[in-house]
Order: sequence, then C-alpha cells, then structure tokens
Amino acid sequence: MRTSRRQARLRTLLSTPTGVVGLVMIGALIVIAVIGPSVWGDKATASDYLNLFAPRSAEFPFGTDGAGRDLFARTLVGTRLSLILTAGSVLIAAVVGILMGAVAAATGGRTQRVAGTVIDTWLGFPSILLSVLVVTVLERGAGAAVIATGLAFAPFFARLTLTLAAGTVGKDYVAAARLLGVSRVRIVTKYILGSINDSLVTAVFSTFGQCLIALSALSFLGLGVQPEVGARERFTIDWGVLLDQGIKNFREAPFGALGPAFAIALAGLAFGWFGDALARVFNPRLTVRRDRSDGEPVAEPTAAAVGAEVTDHD
Amino acid sequence: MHWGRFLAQRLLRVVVVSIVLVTATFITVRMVPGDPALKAIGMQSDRTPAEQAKALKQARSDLHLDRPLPVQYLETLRSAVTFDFGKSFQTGQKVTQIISDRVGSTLRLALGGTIVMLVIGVPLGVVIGALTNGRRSGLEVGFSGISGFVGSIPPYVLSVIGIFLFAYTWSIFPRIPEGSLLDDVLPSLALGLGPAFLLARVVRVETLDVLQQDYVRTARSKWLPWTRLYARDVMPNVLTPALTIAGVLFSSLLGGAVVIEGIFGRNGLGATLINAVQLGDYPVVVAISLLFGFLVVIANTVVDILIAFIDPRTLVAA
Repeated sequence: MRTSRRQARLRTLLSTPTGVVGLVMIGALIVIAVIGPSVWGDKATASDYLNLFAPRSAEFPFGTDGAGRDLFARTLVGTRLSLILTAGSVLIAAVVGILMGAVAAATGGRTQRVAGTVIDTWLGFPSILLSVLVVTVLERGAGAAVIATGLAFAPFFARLTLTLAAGTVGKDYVAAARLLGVSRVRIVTKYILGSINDSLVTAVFSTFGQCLIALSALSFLGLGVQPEVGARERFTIDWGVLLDQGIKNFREAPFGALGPAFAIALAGLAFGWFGDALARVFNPRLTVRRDRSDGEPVAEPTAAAVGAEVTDHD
Repeated sequence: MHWGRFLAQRLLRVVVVSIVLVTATFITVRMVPGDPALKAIGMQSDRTPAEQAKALKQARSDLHLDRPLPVQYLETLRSAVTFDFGKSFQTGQKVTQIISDRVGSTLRLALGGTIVMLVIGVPLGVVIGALTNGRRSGLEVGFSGISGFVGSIPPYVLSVIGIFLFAYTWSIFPRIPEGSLLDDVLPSLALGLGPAFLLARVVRVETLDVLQQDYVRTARSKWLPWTRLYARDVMPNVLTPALTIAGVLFSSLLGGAVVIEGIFGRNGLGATLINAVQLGDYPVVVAISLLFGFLVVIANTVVDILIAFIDPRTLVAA
C-alpha cells in the first residue's frame, strides 16, 4: 500500500517535462557542487598571463578574465558555495517561519490575528530591503547574508503554516482531540504540522530558487560572501561575487558576468520547476492532464489514531 | 456614502503600518553592536583626545543617544514625521539633501518598471486569454512555460543580458546614463519584464473567467461589437485582480531597483543605500529604508483606492 502510493507519486513527479528537467538539473548542480572546487579549482584560480581576456574558445568556453583565469571553471567552482549558503538560508527561513506560524496557530484568538497581521506586513516588503537591514546589524559576510536571507523569507513559511493550520483546526478529528483533552501545543505539533508537512516540503523547494536569487544579489552587492585570494579562493567565491567581478570587466569578458547570471537563473528555474512538480504530486488537482494517480484520497489521521494518542497521554 | 469610512480606514492603516515600520527600524538600529557615535565621528577626521571627547559628546547629543530610550524612540518618531534624519556620518551632508538629490532617479526607474509591467502585462494577458478561450491548448502550454521562465529570472540577470545584447552587441541603448530618456529604457525593461509576465498569467486566467460568464455569451449572441465587449465587460473585471497583483509586484520591483541601479551606473537611492550599509552610515540607511517602506505602503493604499473606484462592491465589504 505504502510503496504503491510512493510509486504513484513518483510517476506524477516524472509525468511532466519540467519535473524531470528540474530533477536532472538539480542532480547535475549537486554533482558540480561536490566535485567543483577540487576538479576545476586550479583552472579557476591560477593566473595565466599568456591568456589575459582570452576570447571564448574550446579551451575557455566563457573566455578568461584580466588575470587569465578560466571563467567557465570559476562559474562551476562557485556552485558549491552558492548551494550551501542557499540551503542554510532556506533552513533558517523554514525553521523560524514554521515555528512562528505554529506558535501563532497554537495561541489562537487575538494573538493569532495580530501575528497574522505582522506576518502579512513583513511579507509585503521587498525581501532585499529586509536582508539589507539585517546585514547592517550583523557584520557583513557570508554568515550575515545567510541569516538575512533566511529572515527575509521566514514570513513565507509562517504565512503558509498559519493558513494551513487554520484550515486543519476546523477538521473534525482536531475537534475530537480537543474535546478529549489533548493540549493545544500537542494538537499543533502532532496533528496540524503532521498533516501539512507535504505542503511545507513543496514550499522548501519553491523557496530555494528565490533564496538563491536573493542571496546571490547580496553577494553581488558586496554585502554577502567576501572572496579571499590565494588557496582559499576556490571556497570563497559564489555566483553573486563572480557576477560582481564580471560586471566590472563586462566589455572585455562579457561571459564573466553572463556565466554566473545564467547559472543563477537556471538554478532558480530548476528548483522552481521541481517545486511545482512536487506540488502537483501532493495536490493532484493542480495537474492539468488527469492520470490514474489522480483522485487518490490524501491520508488523514483517523479518529482511532486520535484515541490512541489520548491513551498515550494517560 | 461609504467613501468617508473607507478612506478613514485606509488612512488609519497607513498610520499604523508606518508606526510599526519606524519601531522596527528603531529596534534594528539599536541592535547594531558598538557605539554609533564613535562610528559617526570616526569617519570624519583626526582629532586630539580632548577634541575627540568633545566631538563624541556632540555626536551623542546629535544622535539623541544621551537621552533615555523612550525619549529616543519619540525623537525617532518625530524625525520620521518631519523626515529629518540628521546628517550622514560619512559626508556630514544632511540626509534630506542626499535623498532629494537622488530620489528622482529611483522614482523614474520604479515608474518605468511599473509602466513596462502594466503596458506589457495587461494587454498580453487579455490577448492570450482571448486566444486560448477553450482552444489552442498548445499556445496555452507554450505561454505558461515562457511566462513562468521569464517571470522567474531576477531583474539583475535580465540587466546583464540586456546590457550584453542592447548596449554592447547592438549599441541601441547607453551602458551608463548619458542624460537622455534612453537611459531609462533598458533598466525599466530589465525591472518590469519579469513582473509583466507574471501579471500576464493572472490576467489571462481572469480574462478566461470573464469570457465564460453567461452575460458575455448573451452579449456575443446579440452580436455586440467585440470592442465594446472588451471595453465594457472584460477590462473592468480583469483590472481589479490585475491591480491587486500589480500592487504586490510593485514591492518586488522596488527591491529589484535597489539591486540594479549599480549595474547601470545610476546614482539613485538603492546604490546610496548599499554604499551606506557597507560604511555603517545609519542615518542614511534608516532614512532610505523608511522611505522605501512608506513607498510600498502608499502604493498598496493607492491600489486599494483604485480598486474601490473601479469596483465599488469592495466598499460595501470594507
């Protein structure tokens, strides 16, 4: 039963071209991130004074920069830091946001309404402005950029959790649990978060692309990753830094900027596509073309499960 | 008859959100580690110890740091109302002066982006909606793919591609401002194109929704001219959701402006803000962040009022 549902979900995931392409692209990105600095690190950081601002060629697909460094290799090497930092900021956004939403949902009443208003106001502001303010307070650098981006995207998760929780609170089994004396906090953690984790997983992937774009913007503006020179350079450049360096030499080596720009856009797109495909898996109504896996009821905790939960308590 | 109450309500919301904004900024700046006064005088010049102590005292009083916290908070509220944020740590210039010198460039960019978004987004959505009304599923899939693709490219990436194509490969637009209207075209396109496609998606769905209504079928069966159908029935119904989305997109458009100003060598508020953050020039950071915040709040309020104007039913609901 369980495996068959998993197979059905996998089929839905792979039934759309964007889902497949997104998954393949994410896989490729992860491989590049893992092997990047060791495979292309030397080419990316070693100066080659015989090839300053070399044009694009088979040897240098993106050309070279003012120190003769291979711009294609630099873009590949930047993948690791970009992905790691983005993962960190998504984690912060998800943890902070879900906690806020869950706490707001657990308190209920007027507190919940006030929290909802705060979350909506927070959501309404440009995320880059929020992160710029956070960077002002913290010492600027990769860590500050991760925290800043995480906090800027936290309200997305808070809003989602609050909305989904509000929808679940009205369900009969939650009312039954409440009547049986299960505590509010327990209701939120056990039933509400338990039944909405599908949507949260989807949101993690959809947010990943946006966080990547915001984080790269911070690095690009000089507020994020601070590149080092020498042996550690290959671990301290991300796409935002490369874009900034590329813009400065745009006329001489346009692919110094275009390379990381395409990388940011493509990675953002890949995670967005995959997120959409996941959303279709968890919410089959979104699928345009109906297939066999459609209409399968989403598993909900039954009254029996609620009863078992209560006996656990006693 | 409801207008008085509606406007009062919106005004009250603007005031409340603005106070929240000022409070959040106040707390943020107090959280900055170190002594802002030391930072303020440290940037200007070298002094003897006695002069240093005196300058520090002066700076503390200028920044109201010598007063108790509640008084500091009230001072911050007052400076938000009068929009007087003192002087820049870095240049000693009045913050108001810095802002008034640069706000024009940023507003032109934001306005340009908004125009691109509306002028491309709304007609594109309506046309694709009319064309895909129950037919041409290929066009529907194609449009959904392309609009999702373009809509998810951040403005700074579009800027880089735009400069490469239209300033270097074909020299149509200037790379950096040269003092003509052409300066604004490329950055406005980079800023507004993504939101335009996202808007077009929403407008297409709304158009389809209207076209499937019974009264549209009736109008069609009576052979009313299609121009009249679109002007009288489709547009007003599409505009309400379009404006709502446009208001949300405007906020992200302002954020995009902050990032791309530097790419185009524009000396606007965004570029100034980034510079001030790097130097820890708080008065400038606070003033520009608050200004952007107010712009978002005002834009949302204008959208609300416009919607009430087009669709008075929202007044009753309010």
